[in-house]
Amino acid sequence: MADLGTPAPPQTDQAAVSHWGDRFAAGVMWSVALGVVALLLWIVGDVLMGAVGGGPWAPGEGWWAYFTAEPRSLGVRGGIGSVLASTGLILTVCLGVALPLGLGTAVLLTETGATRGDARLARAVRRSLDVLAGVPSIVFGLFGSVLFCEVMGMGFSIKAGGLTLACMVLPIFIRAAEDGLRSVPEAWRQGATALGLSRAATLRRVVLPAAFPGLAVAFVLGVGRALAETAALLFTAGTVTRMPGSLDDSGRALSVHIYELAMFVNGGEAAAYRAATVLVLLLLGINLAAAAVARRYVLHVRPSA
Amino acid sequence: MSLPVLNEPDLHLVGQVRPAPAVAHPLLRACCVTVSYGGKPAVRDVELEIAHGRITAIIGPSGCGKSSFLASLNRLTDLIGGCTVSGAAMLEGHDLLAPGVDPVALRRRVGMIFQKPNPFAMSIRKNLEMPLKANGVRGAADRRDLAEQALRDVGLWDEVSGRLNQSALRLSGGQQQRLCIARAVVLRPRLLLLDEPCSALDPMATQRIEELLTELRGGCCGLDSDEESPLTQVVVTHNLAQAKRIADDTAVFWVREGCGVMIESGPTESVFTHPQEEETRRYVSGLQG
Repeated sequence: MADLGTPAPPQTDQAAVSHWGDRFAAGVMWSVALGVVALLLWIVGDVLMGAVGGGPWAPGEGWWAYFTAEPRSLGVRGGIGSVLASTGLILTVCLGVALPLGLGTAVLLTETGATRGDARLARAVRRSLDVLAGVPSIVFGLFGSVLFCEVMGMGFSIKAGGLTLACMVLPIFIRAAEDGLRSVPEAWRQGATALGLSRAATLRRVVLPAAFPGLAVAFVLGVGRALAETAALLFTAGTVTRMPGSLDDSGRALSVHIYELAMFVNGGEAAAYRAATVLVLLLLGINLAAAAVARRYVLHVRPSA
Repeated sequence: MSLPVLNEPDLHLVGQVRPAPAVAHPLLRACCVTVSYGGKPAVRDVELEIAHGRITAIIGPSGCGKSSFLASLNRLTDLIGGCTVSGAAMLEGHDLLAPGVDPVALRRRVGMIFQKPNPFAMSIRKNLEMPLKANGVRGAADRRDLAEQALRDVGLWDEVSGRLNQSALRLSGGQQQRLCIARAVVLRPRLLLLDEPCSALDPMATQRIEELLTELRGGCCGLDSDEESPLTQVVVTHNLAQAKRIADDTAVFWVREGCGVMIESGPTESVFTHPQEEETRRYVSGLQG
């Protein structure tokens, strides 16, 4: 072994080279990461500036009137009250269908599979979901318009829009929920089983609580996809700006509202920016809330993890 | 329920350590138990009697089917795809491998401790109370009392009584394993299976677990009953010294013709000092395995 007082020179050279290489690589990664943050700030900033620069939101009334009043002059004036209501109803229908179906499928994919038939079914389901997740939303829109609006006779309605969205959200939600369930250590399932818990009890008392942070992530991904969706709703929920009276009425989602204002309404840019601000803040809020819930939960149950 | 009186706060040996019963009658009798994966037997034709109120060690080299055999005794093998178990294992007159047996009810009678401590990501209290609740103990006060009793049984009460609502994952490895034992013992099993319970622990923690196991052999309180009853245990271990220290009986598993078999069993003393088989002799003297 070499004497401690005389370090070998070639090694030092190599170390120096890799040192600079490390620095360079770290610099590249930092700038890429900063670029991502900058891009987000740019988009949010642009939307906010556009909204603020576009004049008063609802002249003569308080700013909150913007959130309650119905749109006037094709949405250029007035508020977005009915649009928010439609968005909420569409989202409710979508999640009401997608969450139970999705959670059930995710549980099927992760918690069964003892037999060869199970494994084969799981593989087929997983492959179908991956294909479905890649289908463009306009295709879902056309599919929903044919199946729900025409064949099932729902017409342009919040119901049809919500169901179409559910079809779209399902693959994303299921795969994310599956990841969440899979992250639960097998040792906990074994432990629960060895303690005399039935499969249902193991799922309810051990697996689902432990998977909660992952399920929250899946929920946010699903909601985000549903809130941002435009194309699939154009053909199914429609573009009517009236306050919806029931789920059979047509209703205009927030994203569709932005699209219509930006594309087809003269002088609609300011109003589009305003609506976009609301949408971005909504998504941001849901993300932060879910992250906070998940973090708090993780801190509570997994301090060492 | 009589709570044992603790004289010293750091005393972890609760209750008296009673010697194992001299006359052994079997609690469990395994007949021709074969465990196969995908049709290929991992361990074949095991004939073994587990004596009531004693600790039986299963020793042998890796891959000889010790853990598979152990897992078949509370039907955890049911969870593994492609795994089939044949033969019979009579526990108090019932064949627990028979198709009609409800594995969920069986597992309450036959508990299991794993190599790596696996407390749930819940508070210490909930780790004990949740299984009780799931097993039908209705009263919250009953659950709390039983949980406390179980923690005392494993000598954990003094260490954790002030932080029962903290996550069990904050405990040290040895404490986690004792919590897992408490969680199993509180259901008052007739038989406790332990699959290398100390192999993930340091020597100090190992010593405490070993003391705990010999003490539980003497008796522990639990669900259904106020009086202490001995807890029969089967311990799979790679640690021969551990088998010598804690086991009353020892069974040696070996691989013959590519398949695990049990080659000999008997009182630990005689298995280690007068082995009948050449493999056992070489294994226990450290020449092979």
